[in-house]
Amino acid sequence: MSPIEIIKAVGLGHRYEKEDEGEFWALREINLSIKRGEFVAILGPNGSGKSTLAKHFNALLLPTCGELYVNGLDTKDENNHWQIRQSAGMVFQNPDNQIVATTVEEDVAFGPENLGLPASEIRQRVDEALTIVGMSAYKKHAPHLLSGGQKQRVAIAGVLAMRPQCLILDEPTAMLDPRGRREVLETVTRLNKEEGITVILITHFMEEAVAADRIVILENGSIALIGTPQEIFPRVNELQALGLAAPPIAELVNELRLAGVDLPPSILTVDELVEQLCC
Amino acid sequence: MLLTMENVSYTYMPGTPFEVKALKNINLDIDKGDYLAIIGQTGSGKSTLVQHLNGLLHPTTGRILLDGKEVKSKADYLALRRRVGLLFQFPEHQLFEETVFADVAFGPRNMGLSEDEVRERVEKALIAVGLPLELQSRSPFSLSGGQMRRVAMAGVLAMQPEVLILDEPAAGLDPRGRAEIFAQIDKLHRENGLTVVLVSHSMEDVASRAKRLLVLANGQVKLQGTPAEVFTDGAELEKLGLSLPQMALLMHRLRQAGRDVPTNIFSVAEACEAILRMLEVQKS
Repeated sequence: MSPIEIIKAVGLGHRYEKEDEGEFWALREINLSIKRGEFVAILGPNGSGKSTLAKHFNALLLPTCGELYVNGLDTKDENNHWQIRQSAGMVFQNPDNQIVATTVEEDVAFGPENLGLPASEIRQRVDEALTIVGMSAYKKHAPHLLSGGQKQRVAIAGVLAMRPQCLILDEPTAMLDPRGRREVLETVTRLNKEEGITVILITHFMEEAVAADRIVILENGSIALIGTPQEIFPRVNELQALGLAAPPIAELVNELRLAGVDLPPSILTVDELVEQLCC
Repeated sequence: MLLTMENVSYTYMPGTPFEVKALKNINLDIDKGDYLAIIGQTGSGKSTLVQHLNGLLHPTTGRILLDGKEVKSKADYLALRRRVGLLFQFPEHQLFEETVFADVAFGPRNMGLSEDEVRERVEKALIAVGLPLELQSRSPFSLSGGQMRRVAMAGVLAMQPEVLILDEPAAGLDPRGRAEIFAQIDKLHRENGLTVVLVSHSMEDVASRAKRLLVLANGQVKLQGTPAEVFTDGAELEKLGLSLPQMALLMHRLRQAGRDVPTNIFSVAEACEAILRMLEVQKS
Protein backbone atom coordinates (compact mmCIF):
# COMPACT_ATOMS: atom_id res chain seq x y z
CA MET A 1 0.00 0.00 0.00
CA SER A 2 1.49 3.32 -1.02
CA PRO A 3 1.47 6.16 1.50
CA ILE A 4 -1.08 9.00 1.36
CA GLU A 5 1.74 11.48 0.88
CA ILE A 6 3.27 11.29 -2.56
CA ILE A 7 5.98 13.74 -1.57
CA LYS A 8 7.36 14.37 1.85
CA ALA A 9 10.27 16.66 2.74
CA VAL A 10 11.70 16.43 6.25
CA GLY A 11 14.15 19.14 7.28
CA LEU A 12 15.34 19.26 3.67
CA GLY A 13 18.34 21.49 2.97
CA HIS A 14 20.30 22.02 -0.23
CA ARG A 15 23.70 23.67 -0.54
CA TYR A 16 25.31 24.73 -3.81
CA GLU A 17 29.06 25.26 -3.97
CA LYS A 18 29.74 28.36 -6.02
CA GLU A 19 33.24 28.90 -7.30
CA ASP A 20 33.63 32.59 -6.56
CA GLU A 21 31.25 33.03 -3.64
CA GLY A 22 31.74 29.87 -1.64
CA GLU A 23 28.74 27.91 -0.47
CA PHE A 24 25.14 28.96 -0.77
CA TRP A 25 22.12 27.38 0.90
CA ALA A 26 19.35 27.30 -1.73
CA LEU A 27 16.97 25.41 0.57
CA ARG A 28 16.82 25.35 4.35
CA GLU A 29 14.73 23.26 6.72
CA ILE A 30 11.91 22.51 4.30
CA ASN A 31 9.11 20.47 5.87
CA LEU A 32 6.36 19.76 3.39
CA SER A 33 3.87 17.02 2.64
CA ILE A 34 2.01 16.80 -0.65
CA LYS A 35 -0.97 14.45 -0.71
CA ARG A 36 -1.83 12.11 -3.56
CA GLY A 37 -4.17 13.92 -5.99
CA GLU A 38 -3.37 17.38 -4.66
CA PHE A 39 -2.75 20.43 -6.88
CA VAL A 40 -0.02 22.52 -5.27
CA ALA A 41 1.36 25.77 -6.66
CA ILE A 42 4.84 26.85 -5.63
CA LEU A 43 5.46 30.60 -5.79
CA GLY A 44 8.33 32.83 -4.81
CA PRO A 45 10.67 35.45 -6.24
CA ASN A 46 13.53 34.54 -8.62
CA GLY A 47 16.24 32.82 -6.63
CA SER A 48 13.96 31.73 -3.79
CA GLY A 49 14.64 28.03 -4.37
CA LYS A 50 11.56 26.94 -6.34
CA SER A 51 13.38 25.12 -9.13
CA THR A 52 15.88 23.58 -6.71
CA LEU A 53 12.99 22.17 -4.67
CA ALA A 54 11.29 20.81 -7.79
CA LYS A 55 14.47 19.00 -8.80
CA HIS A 56 14.44 17.19 -5.46
CA PHE A 57 10.94 15.89 -6.22
CA ASN A 58 12.29 13.56 -8.89
CA ALA A 59 15.77 13.03 -7.54
CA LEU A 60 17.55 15.27 -10.06
CA LEU A 61 19.09 16.81 -6.95
CA LEU A 62 19.76 15.07 -3.65
CA PRO A 63 19.43 16.56 -0.16
CA THR A 64 22.53 18.08 1.46
CA CYS A 65 20.74 17.44 4.75
CA GLY A 66 17.32 16.14 5.75
CA GLU A 67 15.30 13.70 3.66
CA LEU A 68 12.99 13.68 0.72
CA TYR A 69 10.57 10.83 0.10
CA VAL A 70 8.65 10.20 -3.11
CA ASN A 71 5.97 7.57 -2.61
CA GLY A 72 7.74 6.64 0.60
CA LEU A 73 11.04 6.07 -1.23
CA ASP A 74 14.09 7.94 0.04
CA THR A 75 15.79 9.86 -2.82
CA LYS A 76 19.18 9.38 -1.13
CA ASP A 77 19.09 5.70 -2.04
CA GLU A 78 20.25 5.48 -5.64
CA ASN A 79 18.45 2.16 -6.08
CA ASN A 80 15.16 4.07 -5.79
CA HIS A 81 15.89 6.61 -8.53
CA TRP A 82 14.46 4.64 -11.43
CA GLN A 83 11.16 4.16 -9.65
CA ILE A 84 11.04 7.74 -8.36
CA ARG A 85 11.59 9.21 -11.81
CA GLN A 86 8.84 7.04 -13.20
CA SER A 87 6.36 8.21 -10.60
CA ALA A 88 7.29 11.90 -10.76
CA GLY A 89 7.59 13.39 -14.27
CA MET A 90 8.89 16.85 -15.00
CA VAL A 91 8.02 19.52 -17.59
CA PHE A 92 10.32 22.52 -18.02
CA GLN A 93 9.97 26.14 -19.11
CA ASN A 94 11.19 26.02 -22.68
CA PRO A 95 9.33 23.49 -24.85
CA ASP A 96 12.00 23.75 -27.56
CA ASN A 97 14.58 22.21 -25.23
CA GLN A 98 12.40 19.19 -24.49
CA ILE A 99 11.46 17.99 -27.93
CA VAL A 100 13.69 15.32 -29.40
CA ALA A 101 11.93 13.67 -32.36
CA THR A 102 10.76 14.69 -35.82
CA THR A 103 7.06 13.89 -35.36
CA VAL A 104 4.77 14.48 -32.41
CA GLU A 105 4.02 10.79 -31.85
CA GLU A 106 7.67 9.76 -31.99
CA ASP A 107 8.45 12.43 -29.47
CA VAL A 108 5.79 11.17 -27.07
CA ALA A 109 6.93 7.58 -27.65
CA PHE A 110 10.53 8.36 -26.66
CA GLY A 111 10.02 7.71 -22.93
CA PRO A 112 7.95 4.51 -23.16
CA GLU A 113 10.36 3.14 -25.78
CA ASN A 114 13.16 3.53 -23.27
CA LEU A 115 11.15 1.52 -20.76
CA GLY A 116 11.46 -1.42 -23.17
CA LEU A 117 7.70 -1.87 -23.47
CA PRO A 118 6.14 -3.95 -26.28
CA ALA A 119 5.14 -1.95 -29.40
CA SER A 120 1.40 -2.37 -28.83
CA GLU A 121 1.71 -0.99 -25.29
CA ILE A 122 3.75 1.98 -26.55
CA ARG A 123 1.15 2.67 -29.27
CA GLN A 124 -1.63 2.63 -26.69
CA ARG A 125 0.19 4.90 -24.25
CA VAL A 126 1.09 7.44 -26.94
CA ASP A 127 -2.48 7.60 -28.28
CA GLU A 128 -3.90 7.92 -24.81
CA ALA A 129 -1.45 10.66 -23.76
CA LEU A 130 -2.10 12.68 -26.92
CA THR A 131 -5.86 12.36 -26.44
CA ILE A 132 -5.62 13.62 -22.87
CA VAL A 133 -3.73 16.77 -23.90
CA GLY A 134 -5.95 17.27 -26.96
CA MET A 135 -3.19 16.83 -29.54
CA SER A 136 -4.25 13.59 -31.33
CA ALA A 137 -4.96 15.45 -34.56
CA TYR A 138 -1.32 16.53 -34.70
CA LYS A 139 0.38 13.18 -34.14
CA LYS A 140 2.03 13.10 -37.57
CA HIS A 141 3.05 16.77 -37.43
CA ALA A 142 6.58 18.09 -37.00
CA PRO A 143 6.84 19.44 -33.43
CA HIS A 144 8.88 22.52 -34.37
CA LEU A 145 6.01 23.85 -36.48
CA LEU A 146 3.53 23.82 -33.59
CA SER A 147 2.62 26.86 -31.47
CA GLY A 148 4.24 27.29 -28.06
CA GLY A 149 1.15 26.05 -26.21
CA GLN A 150 0.89 23.01 -28.48
CA LYS A 151 4.59 22.17 -28.02
CA GLN A 152 4.22 22.39 -24.28
CA ARG A 153 1.18 20.06 -24.42
CA VAL A 154 3.27 17.59 -26.44
CA ALA A 155 5.96 17.82 -23.74
CA ILE A 156 3.27 17.07 -21.12
CA ALA A 157 2.04 14.11 -23.21
CA GLY A 158 5.61 12.78 -23.30
CA VAL A 159 5.68 12.77 -19.52
CA LEU A 160 2.15 11.34 -19.28
CA ALA A 161 3.12 8.41 -21.51
CA MET A 162 5.38 7.34 -18.65
CA ARG A 163 2.19 7.07 -16.53
CA PRO A 164 3.52 9.18 -13.64
CA GLN A 165 1.50 9.65 -10.47
CA CYS A 166 2.85 13.15 -10.09
CA LEU A 167 3.46 15.88 -12.65
CA ILE A 168 5.95 18.62 -11.79
CA LEU A 169 5.84 21.70 -14.03
CA ASP A 170 8.57 24.34 -13.73
CA GLU A 171 7.18 27.59 -15.17
CA PRO A 172 5.57 25.80 -18.11
CA THR A 173 3.84 28.94 -19.39
CA ALA A 174 6.63 31.52 -19.04
CA MET A 175 7.28 31.64 -22.78
CA LEU A 176 3.70 31.30 -24.02
CA ASP A 177 1.08 33.73 -25.28
CA PRO A 178 -2.31 34.06 -23.53
CA ARG A 179 -3.93 31.28 -25.57
CA GLY A 180 -0.98 28.96 -25.00
CA ARG A 181 -1.08 29.67 -21.28
CA ARG A 182 -4.79 28.92 -21.14
CA GLU A 183 -4.34 25.65 -23.07
CA VAL A 184 -1.60 24.42 -20.75
CA LEU A 185 -3.39 25.45 -17.57
CA GLU A 186 -6.66 23.85 -18.66
CA THR A 187 -4.81 20.65 -19.54
CA VAL A 188 -3.04 20.54 -16.19
CA THR A 189 -6.23 21.25 -14.25
CA ARG A 190 -8.08 18.52 -16.14
CA LEU A 191 -5.30 15.99 -15.50
CA ASN A 192 -5.58 16.75 -11.83
CA LYS A 193 -9.37 16.71 -11.53
CA GLU A 194 -10.21 13.92 -13.98
CA GLU A 195 -7.16 11.66 -14.01
CA GLY A 196 -6.32 12.20 -10.35
CA ILE A 197 -2.69 13.05 -11.11
CA THR A 198 -0.88 15.03 -8.43
CA VAL A 199 0.20 18.37 -9.88
CA ILE A 200 3.00 20.58 -8.63
CA LEU A 201 3.07 23.85 -10.56
CA ILE A 202 5.87 26.37 -10.23
CA THR A 203 4.85 29.72 -11.64
CA HIS A 204 5.32 33.48 -11.56
CA PHE A 205 1.75 34.06 -12.68
CA MET A 206 -0.41 34.47 -9.59
CA GLU A 207 -3.62 33.96 -11.62
CA GLU A 208 -2.47 30.42 -12.39
CA ALA A 209 -2.13 29.58 -8.71
CA VAL A 210 -5.77 30.52 -8.10
CA ALA A 211 -6.82 27.08 -9.42
CA ALA A 212 -4.56 25.20 -6.96
CA ASP A 213 -5.68 23.42 -3.77
CA ARG A 214 -2.73 24.81 -1.86
CA ILE A 215 -0.04 27.42 -2.34
CA VAL A 216 3.50 27.21 -0.99
CA ILE A 217 5.49 30.45 -1.04
CA LEU A 218 9.27 30.26 -0.79
CA GLU A 219 11.59 33.05 0.26
CA ASN A 220 15.38 32.66 0.49
CA GLY A 221 15.05 28.90 0.46
CA SER A 222 12.52 28.64 3.30
CA ILE A 223 8.74 28.30 3.32
CA ALA A 224 7.36 31.78 4.03
CA LEU A 225 3.63 31.12 3.64
CA ILE A 226 1.50 28.06 3.04
CA GLY A 227 -2.28 27.76 2.66
CA THR A 228 -5.22 27.75 0.25
CA PRO A 229 -5.40 30.50 -2.41
CA GLN A 230 -8.35 31.94 -0.49
CA GLU A 231 -6.18 32.18 2.63
CA ILE A 232 -3.03 33.47 0.93
CA PHE A 233 -4.10 35.95 -1.74
CA PRO A 234 -6.07 38.38 0.43
CA ARG A 235 -2.77 39.06 2.27
CA VAL A 236 -1.85 41.68 -0.33
CA ASN A 237 0.73 43.57 1.74
CA GLU A 238 2.59 40.48 2.91
CA LEU A 239 2.80 39.25 -0.69
CA GLN A 240 4.21 42.58 -1.81
CA ALA A 241 6.83 42.48 0.94
CA LEU A 242 7.87 39.07 -0.44
CA GLY A 243 8.35 40.58 -3.90
CA LEU A 244 5.19 38.95 -5.21
CA ALA A 245 1.83 40.40 -6.14
CA ALA A 246 -1.70 39.25 -5.44
CA PRO A 247 -3.79 38.43 -8.53
CA PRO A 248 -5.35 41.69 -9.82
CA ILE A 249 -8.85 40.73 -8.63
CA ALA A 250 -7.63 40.01 -5.07
CA GLU A 251 -5.84 43.35 -5.10
CA LEU A 252 -9.00 45.13 -6.24
CA VAL A 253 -11.13 43.39 -3.58
CA ASN A 254 -8.58 44.50 -0.96
CA GLU A 255 -8.82 48.12 -2.18
CA LEU A 256 -12.62 48.02 -2.22
CA ARG A 257 -12.72 46.60 1.31
CA LEU A 258 -10.37 49.35 2.51
CA ALA A 259 -12.79 51.86 0.97
CA GLY A 260 -15.55 50.33 3.11
CA VAL A 261 -17.29 48.06 0.59
CA ASP A 262 -18.72 44.95 2.25
CA LEU A 263 -17.12 42.04 0.37
CA PRO A 264 -15.70 38.68 1.49
CA PRO A 265 -11.89 38.86 1.31
CA SER A 266 -11.59 35.46 -0.38
CA ILE A 267 -12.81 36.54 -3.86
CA LEU A 268 -10.21 35.64 -6.50
CA THR A 269 -11.98 35.58 -9.88
CA VAL A 270 -13.88 38.00 -12.13
CA ASP A 271 -16.98 35.78 -11.96
CA GLU A 272 -17.05 35.73 -8.16
CA LEU A 273 -16.66 39.50 -7.95
CA VAL A 274 -19.37 40.23 -10.54
CA GLU A 275 -21.72 37.93 -8.64
CA GLN A 276 -21.00 39.66 -5.32
CA LEU A 277 -21.41 43.15 -6.78
CA CYS A 278 -24.58 42.44 -8.72
CA CYS A 279 -26.63 40.44 -6.22
CA MET B 1 8.03 60.75 -39.07
CA LEU B 2 10.96 58.98 -37.38
CA LEU B 3 10.36 55.48 -38.71
CA THR B 4 7.97 54.23 -41.35
CA MET B 5 7.16 50.81 -42.74
CA GLU B 6 5.56 51.11 -46.16
CA ASN B 7 3.78 48.07 -47.62
CA VAL B 8 6.38 45.79 -46.08
CA SER B 9 6.14 42.06 -46.76
CA TYR B 10 8.69 39.49 -45.73
CA THR B 11 9.07 35.90 -46.86
CA TYR B 12 11.34 33.40 -45.16
CA MET B 13 13.13 31.01 -47.54
CA PRO B 14 11.40 32.21 -50.72
CA GLY B 15 11.23 29.79 -53.61
CA THR B 16 11.73 26.71 -51.41
CA PRO B 17 9.13 24.24 -50.11
CA PHE B 18 9.64 25.88 -46.69
CA GLU B 19 8.56 29.33 -47.89
CA VAL B 20 6.67 31.21 -45.16
CA LYS B 21 5.06 34.62 -45.67
CA ALA B 22 5.79 36.08 -42.22
CA LEU B 23 4.67 39.66 -42.91
CA LYS B 24 2.04 40.80 -45.36
CA ASN B 25 1.75 44.40 -46.42
CA ILE B 26 2.57 46.14 -43.15
CA ASN B 27 2.12 49.90 -42.89
CA LEU B 28 3.31 51.50 -39.69
CA ASP B 29 4.43 54.95 -38.54
CA ILE B 30 6.49 55.51 -35.42
CA ASP B 31 6.82 59.07 -34.19
CA LYS B 32 9.51 60.51 -31.95
CA GLY B 33 8.44 59.97 -28.33
CA ASP B 34 5.99 57.22 -29.22
CA TYR B 35 5.25 54.28 -26.91
CA LEU B 36 4.00 51.51 -29.17
CA ALA B 37 3.15 47.99 -28.08
CA ILE B 38 2.92 45.08 -30.51
CA ILE B 39 0.78 42.14 -29.44
CA GLY B 40 -0.24 38.92 -31.13
CA GLN B 41 0.03 35.16 -30.78
CA THR B 42 3.29 33.26 -31.04
CA GLY B 43 4.07 33.08 -34.76
CA SER B 44 2.02 36.14 -35.69
CA GLY B 45 5.08 38.00 -37.01
CA LYS B 46 5.95 40.26 -34.07
CA SER B 47 9.66 39.41 -33.95
CA THR B 48 9.99 39.50 -37.74
CA LEU B 49 8.42 42.96 -37.74
CA VAL B 50 10.70 44.46 -35.10
CA GLN B 51 13.79 43.04 -36.78
CA HIS B 52 12.88 45.23 -39.78
CA LEU B 53 12.81 48.30 -37.56
CA ASN B 54 16.53 48.07 -36.86
CA GLY B 55 17.61 46.60 -40.16
CA LEU B 56 18.39 43.04 -39.08
CA LEU B 57 15.96 41.90 -41.77
CA HIS B 58 15.39 43.63 -45.08
CA PRO B 59 11.88 43.74 -46.59
CA THR B 60 11.17 41.24 -49.40
CA THR B 61 8.91 43.95 -50.87
CA GLY B 62 8.07 47.41 -49.58
CA ARG B 63 10.25 50.05 -47.91
CA ILE B 64 11.58 51.19 -44.55
CA LEU B 65 11.94 54.95 -44.14
CA LEU B 66 14.08 56.71 -41.53
CA ASP B 67 13.31 60.41 -41.17
CA GLY B 68 11.27 60.10 -44.36
CA LYS B 69 14.24 58.77 -46.36
CA GLU B 70 14.31 55.23 -47.69
CA VAL B 71 16.81 52.93 -46.01
CA LYS B 72 18.69 51.37 -48.92
CA SER B 73 22.47 51.53 -48.87
CA LYS B 74 24.84 49.84 -46.44
CA ALA B 75 25.46 53.23 -44.80
CA ASP B 76 21.69 53.74 -44.39
CA TYR B 77 21.36 50.40 -42.61
CA LEU B 78 24.32 51.19 -40.37
CA ALA B 79 22.65 54.45 -39.35
CA LEU B 80 19.35 52.63 -38.71
CA ARG B 81 21.09 50.08 -36.48
CA ARG B 82 22.76 52.85 -34.47
CA ARG B 83 19.59 54.79 -33.91
CA VAL B 84 17.31 51.85 -33.17
CA GLY B 85 18.37 49.49 -30.37
CA LEU B 86 16.86 46.03 -30.10
CA LEU B 87 16.76 43.99 -26.91
CA PHE B 88 16.00 40.38 -27.74
CA GLN B 89 14.00 37.92 -25.67
CA PHE B 90 16.05 36.44 -22.82
CA PRO B 91 18.94 38.81 -23.69
CA GLU B 92 20.95 37.52 -20.72
CA HIS B 93 21.80 34.50 -22.89
CA GLN B 94 23.88 36.84 -25.01
CA LEU B 95 26.16 38.14 -22.27
CA PHE B 96 29.68 36.93 -22.90
CA GLU B 97 32.33 39.22 -21.40
CA GLU B 98 34.27 38.61 -18.21
CA THR B 99 32.97 41.67 -16.41
CA VAL B 100 29.76 43.69 -16.42
CA PHE B 101 31.77 46.72 -17.53
CA ALA B 102 33.28 44.95 -20.54
CA ASP B 103 29.92 43.60 -21.60
CA VAL B 104 28.17 46.97 -21.53
CA ALA B 105 31.23 48.64 -23.12
CA PHE B 106 31.30 46.23 -26.06
CA GLY B 107 29.02 48.30 -28.33
CA PRO B 108 30.47 51.76 -27.59
CA ARG B 109 34.03 50.41 -28.03
CA ASN B 110 33.08 49.08 -31.46
CA MET B 111 31.89 52.57 -32.35
CA GLY B 112 35.49 53.70 -31.87
CA LEU B 113 34.79 56.01 -28.93
CA SER B 114 37.57 57.07 -26.56
CA GLU B 115 37.98 55.04 -23.38
CA ASP B 116 36.74 58.03 -21.31
CA GLU B 117 33.63 58.31 -23.41
CA VAL B 118 33.08 54.57 -23.19
CA ARG B 119 33.35 54.71 -19.39
CA GLU B 120 30.91 57.60 -19.21
CA ARG B 121 28.38 55.79 -21.40
CA VAL B 122 28.68 52.55 -19.44
CA GLU B 123 28.10 54.29 -16.13
CA LYS B 124 25.15 56.25 -17.47
CA ALA B 125 23.59 53.09 -18.89
CA LEU B 126 24.07 51.12 -15.65
CA ILE B 127 22.46 53.94 -13.68
CA ALA B 128 19.58 54.09 -16.16
CA VAL B 129 18.77 50.41 -15.60
CA GLY B 130 19.13 50.75 -11.84
CA LEU B 131 22.26 48.65 -11.33
CA PRO B 132 24.78 49.73 -8.67
CA LEU B 133 28.13 50.76 -10.20
CA GLU B 134 29.96 48.41 -7.80
CA LEU B 135 28.77 45.54 -9.98
CA GLN B 136 30.96 46.74 -12.89
CA SER B 137 33.91 44.54 -12.02
CA ARG B 138 31.81 41.44 -11.28
CA SER B 139 31.28 38.64 -13.74
CA PRO B 140 27.82 39.02 -15.32
CA PHE B 141 27.31 35.30 -14.72
CA SER B 142 27.47 35.73 -10.95
CA LEU B 143 24.39 37.99 -10.99
CA SER B 144 20.71 37.07 -10.59
CA GLY B 145 18.55 36.55 -13.68
CA GLY B 146 16.90 39.96 -13.29
CA GLN B 147 20.25 41.70 -12.89
CA MET B 148 21.71 39.90 -15.91
CA ARG B 149 18.78 41.06 -17.98
CA ARG B 150 19.43 44.63 -16.90
CA VAL B 151 23.11 44.33 -17.86
CA ALA B 152 21.97 43.29 -21.35
CA MET B 153 19.59 46.25 -21.47
CA ALA B 154 22.41 48.59 -20.38
CA GLY B 155 24.48 47.23 -23.28
CA VAL B 156 21.82 48.42 -25.73
CA LEU B 157 21.32 51.76 -23.95
CA ALA B 158 25.06 52.46 -24.00
CA MET B 159 24.72 52.80 -27.78
CA GLN B 160 22.38 55.73 -26.98
CA PRO B 161 19.64 54.74 -29.40
CA GLU B 162 16.68 57.02 -30.11
CA VAL B 163 14.34 54.08 -30.35
CA LEU B 164 14.44 51.11 -27.98
CA ILE B 165 12.70 47.92 -29.05
CA LEU B 166 12.11 45.37 -26.32
CA ASP B 167 10.96 41.83 -27.11
CA GLU B 168 9.22 40.43 -24.00
CA PRO B 169 11.53 42.23 -21.57
CA ALA B 170 9.83 40.77 -18.47
CA ALA B 171 9.45 37.12 -19.54
CA GLY B 172 10.47 34.75 -16.75
CA LEU B 173 10.90 37.49 -14.13
CA ASP B 174 9.04 37.49 -10.81
CA PRO B 175 6.43 40.20 -10.10
CA ARG B 176 8.98 42.52 -8.46
CA GLY B 177 11.48 42.04 -11.31
CA ARG B 178 8.70 42.75 -13.82
CA ALA B 179 7.65 45.92 -12.02
CA GLU B 180 11.27 47.13 -11.79
CA ILE B 181 12.16 46.60 -15.42
CA PHE B 182 8.97 48.30 -16.62
CA ALA B 183 9.49 51.20 -14.22
CA GLN B 184 12.92 51.77 -15.77
CA ILE B 185 11.59 51.58 -19.34
CA ASP B 186 8.77 54.00 -18.51
CA LYS B 187 11.21 56.39 -16.86
CA LEU B 188 13.52 56.41 -19.92
CA HIS B 189 10.47 57.16 -22.05
CA ARG B 190 9.15 59.89 -19.77
CA GLU B 191 12.36 61.64 -18.78
CA ASN B 192 14.71 61.09 -21.72
CA GLY B 193 12.04 61.09 -24.42
CA LEU B 194 13.14 57.62 -25.56
CA THR B 195 10.85 56.18 -28.22
CA VAL B 196 9.75 52.71 -27.08
CA VAL B 197 8.46 49.72 -29.03
CA LEU B 198 7.36 46.92 -26.72
CA VAL B 199 6.54 43.36 -27.77
CA SER B 200 4.56 41.56 -25.09
CA HIS B 201 2.21 38.71 -24.29
CA SER B 202 0.84 40.42 -21.22
CA MET B 203 -2.28 42.44 -21.93
CA GLU B 204 -1.97 43.99 -18.45
CA ASP B 205 1.51 45.32 -19.14
CA VAL B 206 0.69 46.93 -22.48
CA ALA B 207 -2.74 48.30 -21.57
CA SER B 208 -1.51 50.44 -18.73
CA ARG B 209 1.57 51.92 -20.39
CA ALA B 210 1.55 52.00 -24.21
CA LYS B 211 0.09 54.97 -26.08
CA ARG B 212 -0.71 52.85 -29.10
CA LEU B 213 -1.25 49.16 -29.75
CA LEU B 214 -0.72 47.13 -32.89
CA VAL B 215 -2.37 43.70 -33.01
CA LEU B 216 -0.79 41.23 -35.43
CA ALA B 217 -2.22 37.93 -36.66
CA ASN B 218 -0.78 35.80 -39.46
CA GLY B 219 1.63 38.54 -40.44
CA GLN B 220 -1.06 41.16 -40.88
CA VAL B 221 -2.19 44.16 -38.84
CA LYS B 222 -5.62 43.21 -37.44
CA LEU B 223 -6.27 46.04 -35.03
CA GLN B 224 -4.57 49.32 -34.30
CA GLY B 225 -5.29 52.16 -31.90
CA THR B 226 -5.13 53.34 -28.30
CA PRO B 227 -5.55 50.68 -25.57
CA ALA B 228 -9.11 51.95 -25.05
CA GLU B 229 -9.86 51.43 -28.75
CA VAL B 230 -8.23 48.00 -29.05
CA PHE B 231 -9.56 46.55 -25.81
CA THR B 232 -13.23 47.06 -26.65
CA ASP B 233 -14.09 43.77 -28.32
CA GLY B 234 -13.22 40.79 -26.14
CA ALA B 235 -14.65 38.25 -28.59
CA GLU B 236 -12.53 39.57 -31.45
CA LEU B 237 -9.37 39.43 -29.30
CA GLU B 238 -10.14 35.84 -28.21
CA LYS B 239 -10.33 34.88 -31.88
CA LEU B 240 -6.84 36.30 -32.32
CA GLY B 241 -5.60 34.23 -29.37
CA LEU B 242 -5.42 37.24 -27.06
CA SER B 243 -7.60 38.43 -24.22
CA LEU B 244 -8.87 41.54 -22.47
CA PRO B 245 -6.85 42.75 -19.49
CA GLN B 246 -8.50 41.46 -16.27
CA MET B 247 -9.83 44.85 -15.17
CA ALA B 248 -11.35 45.58 -18.58
CA LEU B 249 -12.89 42.10 -18.57
CA LEU B 250 -14.44 42.80 -15.17
CA MET B 251 -15.92 46.07 -16.43
CA HIS B 252 -17.36 44.36 -19.51
CA ARG B 253 -19.00 41.72 -17.30
CA LEU B 254 -20.48 44.36 -15.01
CA ARG B 255 -21.88 46.12 -18.07
CA GLN B 256 -23.40 42.87 -19.32
CA ALA B 257 -25.06 42.56 -15.91
CA GLY B 258 -26.71 45.92 -16.55
CA ARG B 259 -24.38 48.16 -14.55
CA ASP B 260 -23.41 51.53 -15.99
CA VAL B 261 -19.60 51.46 -15.82
CA PRO B 262 -16.92 52.61 -18.27
CA THR B 263 -15.02 49.78 -20.01
CA ASN B 264 -11.73 51.53 -20.81
CA ILE B 265 -10.31 50.67 -17.40
CA PHE B 266 -6.95 48.91 -17.10
CA SER B 267 -5.51 49.42 -13.62
CA VAL B 268 -6.70 48.27 -10.19
CA ALA B 269 -6.88 51.90 -8.99
CA GLU B 270 -9.13 52.93 -11.91
CA ALA B 271 -11.33 49.88 -11.43
CA CYS B 272 -11.69 50.60 -7.71
CA GLU B 273 -12.76 54.16 -8.44
CA ALA B 274 -15.27 53.08 -11.11
CA ILE B 275 -16.86 50.44 -8.84
CA LEU B 276 -17.13 52.84 -5.91
CA ARG B 277 -18.90 55.31 -8.22
CA MET B 278 -21.20 52.54 -9.46
CA LEU B 279 -22.11 51.56 -5.90
CA GLU B 280 -22.70 55.22 -5.03
CA VAL B 281 -25.18 55.57 -7.92
CA GLN B 282 -26.93 52.34 -6.90
CA LYS B 283 -27.46 53.65 -3.38
CA SER B 284 -29.06 56.94 -4.39
